[in-house]
Amino acid sequence: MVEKKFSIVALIVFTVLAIIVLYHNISPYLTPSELVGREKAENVQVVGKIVSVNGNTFQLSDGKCSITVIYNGSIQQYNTEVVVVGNWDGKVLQATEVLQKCHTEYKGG
Amino acid sequence: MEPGYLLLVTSLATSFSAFLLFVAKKWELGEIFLYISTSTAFAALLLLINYFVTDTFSVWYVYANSNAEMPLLYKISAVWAGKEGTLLLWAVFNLQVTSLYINWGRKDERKARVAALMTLFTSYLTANILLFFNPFVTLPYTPPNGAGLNPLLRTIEMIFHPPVVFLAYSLSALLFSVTLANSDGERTLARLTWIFLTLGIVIGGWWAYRTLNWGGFWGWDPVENASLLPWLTLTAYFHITRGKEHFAYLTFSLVLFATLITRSGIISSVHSFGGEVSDYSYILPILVSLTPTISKIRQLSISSLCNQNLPIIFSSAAVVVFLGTMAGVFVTVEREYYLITFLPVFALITFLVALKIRKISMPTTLLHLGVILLFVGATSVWLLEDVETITITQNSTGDFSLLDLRIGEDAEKYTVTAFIKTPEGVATPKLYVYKVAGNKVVSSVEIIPELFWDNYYSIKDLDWKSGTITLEYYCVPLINAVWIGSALMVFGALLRFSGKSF
Repeated sequence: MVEKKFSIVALIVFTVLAIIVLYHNISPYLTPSELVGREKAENVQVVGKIVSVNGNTFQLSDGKCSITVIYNGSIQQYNTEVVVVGNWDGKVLQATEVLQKCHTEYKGG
Repeated sequence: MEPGYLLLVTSLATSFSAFLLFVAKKWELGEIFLYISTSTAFAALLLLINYFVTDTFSVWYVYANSNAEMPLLYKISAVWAGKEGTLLLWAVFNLQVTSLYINWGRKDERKARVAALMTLFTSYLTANILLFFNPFVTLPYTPPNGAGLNPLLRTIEMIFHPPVVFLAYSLSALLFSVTLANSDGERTLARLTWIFLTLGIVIGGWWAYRTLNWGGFWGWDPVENASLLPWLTLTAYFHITRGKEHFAYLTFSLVLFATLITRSGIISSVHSFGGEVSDYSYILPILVSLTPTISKIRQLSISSLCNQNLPIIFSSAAVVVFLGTMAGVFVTVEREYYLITFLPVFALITFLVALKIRKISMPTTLLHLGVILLFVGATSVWLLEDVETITITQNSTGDFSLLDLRIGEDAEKYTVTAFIKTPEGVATPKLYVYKVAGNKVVSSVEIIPELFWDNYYSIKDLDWKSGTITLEYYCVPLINAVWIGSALMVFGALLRFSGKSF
């Protein structure tokens, strides 16, 4: 019986640990590949890398998928990930803000 | 009225009548109605296939998923490219496996109960088809050509993946019914279900690896997760002595859960069809299917679950995948979550498998060797895969350079082939630019296999003006162990049918 109780305790402890790990590995941000599956999404935060800039549009990619972002402002191609805030209409993301991701802090950019 | 719709109405009326007759113990008549229902549903499926083959674009579903220039095989596989066709396929498989099952051995009261449960469930599916997902909706005019099949689905794998998956789903429904009715052949059915579930997942992974350009076979996508859940509980089923019926029930509930996740699009993924409210109709069967589990929860003594460690370990694996999938509804779950939680459990399972491998029969040994190989392959791909972005032009020096760019054209698409000098020889990744199906650009990967790793090239970006190509190069270590391991698992499971235990 001791062994049986041990198994149940082990399962519960494991579940709790899993929840803790889960809590540390979620982000409210979407990736471009998640976004392309959606028809429309307003005021989303999309995280990815700027891969190519062309005028006031650029391509945002997560390595799997890339999306076209329209942004009226200066865009610089960073080597790190950026967070783009904007509205998705199924084809392009109309950006309202582009934030540079800098470890844990975010700077306007 | 459209003849296909009429066939489906007949199928629904007869399958529901069969259900009532089986409940009223008029078994012989019920059986006849079951066969009528099976035949009419199958006829409807054949008619739909015929519409695709003959380019009948006045049928909306054909228009939306096919076009005249497509090869014959893809016209057939386009039948199961959408919700309508797959649901029809599911209903047909349900009725066919039920008809086969009641003719397997002696017909008795328990078989009648199985048939009653299966016809009830199929009636629900068919009613759903008629109300929300009718594949026979006709347009008021005939468009000159169809919109075309989604380019990503134009692969050999996608001819087999949906039928295999839905056959597995039908078999899991049958396993549920047989277990509940306490009828014969439970073990054989469980094995068959397991084989088709495994095949479905493996074909899906193979397709993802060769089609989706991200150098992996498993992305912890919600739909992949949802398909893994019933597989885990069904695998646990074989490793438990008492109380296994709970795992049979749970497997079917999780199959329905997977259908809900896949179709409703509550979690966006490569599979999402775009959700509609009617997709939530799966919630009802999920709740119903949970009743035997809940009503017998008291019989599920803790001691029966814990007399071995394996059910607990499999449950842990299912718990972490379930938690991650549900969290995915609200937030993005990072891949690391699965690596931190799932991988140790997988390692523990593999360790136990390796300890016991000599004490079991030959087919089971093969199957378990497959598990070990799968673990080795999956772990190395997940942890050791290397990716590099390479930008090259014709003037590039070094390991990589662009030798040539060629354009070909056929009725449906332009094909851009890049000839790239790599250390392994000339690689020829391609870009397909479709003229149909919404002008999609699909990148086709070039895989140069070596014994211990794959060299995997895909075109990320192409700039015509400067002749610059951006390539993504993945070094995928030990991916072959994943495929060989999976093949061994299925092969070992098949071999077990040759023994006496069948």
